[in-house]
Amino acid sequence: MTLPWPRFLLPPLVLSLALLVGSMYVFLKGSFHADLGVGRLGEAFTLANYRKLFADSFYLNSLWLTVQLSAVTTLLTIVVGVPVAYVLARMRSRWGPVLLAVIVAASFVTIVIKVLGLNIIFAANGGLNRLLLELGMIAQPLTIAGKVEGVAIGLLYFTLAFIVILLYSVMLTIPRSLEEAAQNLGASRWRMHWRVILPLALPGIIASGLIGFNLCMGAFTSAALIGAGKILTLPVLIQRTVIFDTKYGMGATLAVVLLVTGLAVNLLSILLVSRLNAARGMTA
Amino acid sequence: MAAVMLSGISKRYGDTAAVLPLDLSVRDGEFLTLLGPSGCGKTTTLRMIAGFVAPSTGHIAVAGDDITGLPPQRRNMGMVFQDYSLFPHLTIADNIAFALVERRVPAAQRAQRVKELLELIRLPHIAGRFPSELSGGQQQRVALARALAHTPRVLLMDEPFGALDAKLRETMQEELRAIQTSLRITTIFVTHDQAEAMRMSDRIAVMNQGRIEQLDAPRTVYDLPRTRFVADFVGKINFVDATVVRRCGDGVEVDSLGLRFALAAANTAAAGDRVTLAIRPERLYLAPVDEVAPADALSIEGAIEHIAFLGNVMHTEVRATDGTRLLVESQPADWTVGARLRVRFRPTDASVLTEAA
Repeated sequence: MTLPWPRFLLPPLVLSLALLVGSMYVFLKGSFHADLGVGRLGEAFTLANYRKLFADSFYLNSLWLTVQLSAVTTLLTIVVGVPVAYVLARMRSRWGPVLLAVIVAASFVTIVIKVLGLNIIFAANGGLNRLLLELGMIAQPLTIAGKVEGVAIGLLYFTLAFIVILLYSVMLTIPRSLEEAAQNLGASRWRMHWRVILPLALPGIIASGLIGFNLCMGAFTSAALIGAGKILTLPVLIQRTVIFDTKYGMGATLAVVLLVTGLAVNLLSILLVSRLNAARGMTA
Repeated sequence: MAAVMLSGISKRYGDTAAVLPLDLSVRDGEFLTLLGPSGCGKTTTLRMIAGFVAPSTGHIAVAGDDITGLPPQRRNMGMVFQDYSLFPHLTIADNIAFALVERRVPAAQRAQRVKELLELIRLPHIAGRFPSELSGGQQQRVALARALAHTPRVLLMDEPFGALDAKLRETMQEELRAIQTSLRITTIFVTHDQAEAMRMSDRIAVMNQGRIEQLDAPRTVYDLPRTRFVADFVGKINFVDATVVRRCGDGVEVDSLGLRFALAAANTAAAGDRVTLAIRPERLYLAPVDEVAPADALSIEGAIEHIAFLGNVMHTEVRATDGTRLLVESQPADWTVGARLRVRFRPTDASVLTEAA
């Protein structure tokens, strides 16, 4: 007997659509109505929120900061993540799976705990600062609270485990024999990575980078906890606009701008990857 | 192009020995095949020559230079891998030119060399394509061209035709042999396919459990196998127990199958030793019981137990009067199971295995 499997999938589909499209519809619609104070929205359709957003350097700076911070953090994550993923994927030792399990487990730890850990590491009288002071490498203890660099470290900490897991699976798809072929043909280790591993991993690196970028763009907790009200990324600003100022219309507008910006970056990157693949005679 | 010399090369992984200490000298321009079942150490030996596996003991020299400690990229060898390992992100021209780029050959010379090689493998029109657009046989040829581009001193091949179908494999074998002969490049070829080894090699090293059991020309390996393993691995063969009666000149006189006859023997078996004789099924002939045998032939009586018709030949299993089972390969004929007959052979077609029975 054949069960009507597609029909079993209908309820989850409806639920997912309701949650995704429904919530999106609510804030998309909200963004086109003026705030009347204490959470009430005007009846008339208006572009006033958008006009205000794009006229006010405060909002634009926040958008620019969010994009910049996400891009730089993603680059850092990739720079740290690619070698780690490569080594893990090529490891023959029985510690390989253990290390991978540790990284997977780390990705499950809530960012609140991770930020707590960062605060301990960067405490004014903590081990790291004392060591650096002793060595004379710094004059003042390093702090992360309220600093852009601090938020970047927090975001890196937040996304690294995910990115390493993604890149690990990318590296696994590159046959080891290609490395041997390159070496046999005269390529040093460095040249082999440059001419074979990196080009082959590039589409996967870009895809992983996108996921990291999206995670950063939407990251609230680390930005709010480490930024301490001084680093206002869009997600932090949305929360403040909605909760403190009860400007639901403006909050919705900021959310739409965040979403559209993220979408644009993603579309551009996907276009880039498919061009890259097309140039190699592969179907994207 | 150069001679390759392995002295005392071995490889251990923990407690297991992949390759026991072995010596092997590959002559300049020779096509030498490492033949054996999987796990015999043939691929490990090849990978030690390529530099991907560090030997536990011993030295490797090419044209007299010790290369044991050199990394793969500085050994100037060309290797064809089992799965071709073409770079999927590079065009065929760029794949072939890979080693030339590493050696900083100017672009114009690179293009010229790629053109030459594409003509050598008779695929001049595919320079701009990607590996995924080629058939298995074409990828195989490109892999060969890529391995030859930088005129390596030695060509290494690890079961390169394993993934091809039987017909294509034969064509590729002939093409490879023709290219190898014209370039006179020292080639070390790994395979588990004895027919492939026979067809292409100048010499075959038959490997078993990390050892080279016999190193000889294909004809000698087939006709005069030294050990039971070699005899059994290369083609079909009959093993017959025998007792040495006495040594005579270069050979021995033996008592076997209820007969007494002399044959050549390289080993040192002495009178009274029990030895094993090996004789190929196609060296045995079926004859009617009453037919008179030629003067140089011996014969033994028996009955047919089983017949298998294989098209061009027929395999007949005969149980001799002393109980020995013999496999005979002959032209298809009208024998029937149960028929009594004589199995005839020349003593010179049998060989004495060196190992004790």
